[in-house]
Amino acid sequence: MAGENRQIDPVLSALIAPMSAKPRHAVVRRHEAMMRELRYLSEREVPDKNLAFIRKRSWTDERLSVLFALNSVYQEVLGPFSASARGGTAGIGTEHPITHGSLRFDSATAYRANSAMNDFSEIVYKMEFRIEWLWHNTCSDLIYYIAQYERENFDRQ
Amino acid sequence: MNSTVDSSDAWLASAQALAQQFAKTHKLLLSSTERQLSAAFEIGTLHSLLRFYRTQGYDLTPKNLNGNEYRYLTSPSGNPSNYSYVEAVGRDGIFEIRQQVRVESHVDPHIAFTPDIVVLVKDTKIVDSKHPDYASGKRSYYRVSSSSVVAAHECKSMNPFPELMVSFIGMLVSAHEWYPDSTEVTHTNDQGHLAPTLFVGGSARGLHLRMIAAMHKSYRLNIVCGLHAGTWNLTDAKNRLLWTPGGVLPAAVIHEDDLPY
Repeated sequence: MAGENRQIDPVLSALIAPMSAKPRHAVVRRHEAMMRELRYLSEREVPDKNLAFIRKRSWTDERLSVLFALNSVYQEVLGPFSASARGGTAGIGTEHPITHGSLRFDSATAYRANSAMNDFSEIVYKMEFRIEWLWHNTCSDLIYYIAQYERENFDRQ
Repeated sequence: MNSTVDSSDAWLASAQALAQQFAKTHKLLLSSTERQLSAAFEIGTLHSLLRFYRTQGYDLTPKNLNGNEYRYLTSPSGNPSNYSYVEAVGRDGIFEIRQQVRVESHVDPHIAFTPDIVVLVKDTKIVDSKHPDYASGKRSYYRVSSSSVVAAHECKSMNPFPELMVSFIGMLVSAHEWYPDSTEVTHTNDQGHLAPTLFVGGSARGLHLRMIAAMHKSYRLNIVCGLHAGTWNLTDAKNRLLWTPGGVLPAAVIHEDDLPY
């Protein structure tokens, strides 16, 4: 059952390995909160209908855990970082690199962010997830949208 | 072992391999510190705001560059005069878009705080003085008056929640002498400055969206959620304003039909 296995998700483990302490803690905390919510939805007296439905469509706890790991890394690290890559207006961040204390945001930073986002999207695609599933905040939000997607697919079959 | 377990194990192994490769390729980005991530999000919000200003017909020019570089003020302890800003020239005047400038409230001078981004009227006086209760009187205490603030914006790289949203009303009331209905400002849903805006990284849905719509209707502010999801176009932020010192045009109240949600 969800959350009983305390071993860290292998995808989460790989992604947080190079992270510095605070962002890593934030990612792990977010992932744990989602797994806790999954356990609650599984074990409550009236089981969550969407969760029951997607379980029949091969959504295992392991698969959800991987999605939660990708969602957490995106929300805590990639999303905020790639925000800085959207520059260019009045030449700021491109023609005029931004110095933010000891940090520098320029075209090279933007390239690094865009390249990471492209590769991350590729993982999402290969794992047969949808990119918009990275944008939701909670386990129940995600399960709602997964169920909606599965129902649409189910209706088409 | 059955085939379902086999395929599930293979899927997980494949996911792990992809994640390991990603972590190796993008180690530098993944190792960003909390400070770097926070700065990146704030800079992203600035980019978004600048693009909005351009769509509203303002001419933008970076000012006070350090050589070719835009020197971003990262803390209210720095002297804003030493840092870069963006000048915005529009039909309602000339303005300065600045970061991390402390605002002293008209409500009471002891109410002072630092929004992430402020839009000020051009040549706003930056007051500095030494104060025994600030850095033991050793460093200058820089601030601007809330009477010069056109709009103060705040960026939060987190999920939206009701207490966060409602607390922004405090900034609206304390940082803008024009609030709620001074003649300094004409409220509009058309071209103009973005009214004071809370930028939130996480996405909202359900009750939070209803709360945001109600706050848009009730106050001269915007709450823009979902920046992590790519909501960088601010055209749905319908509460806007024009700076009209001495102006007497009536305030245009936003209509429910015009709300973005």
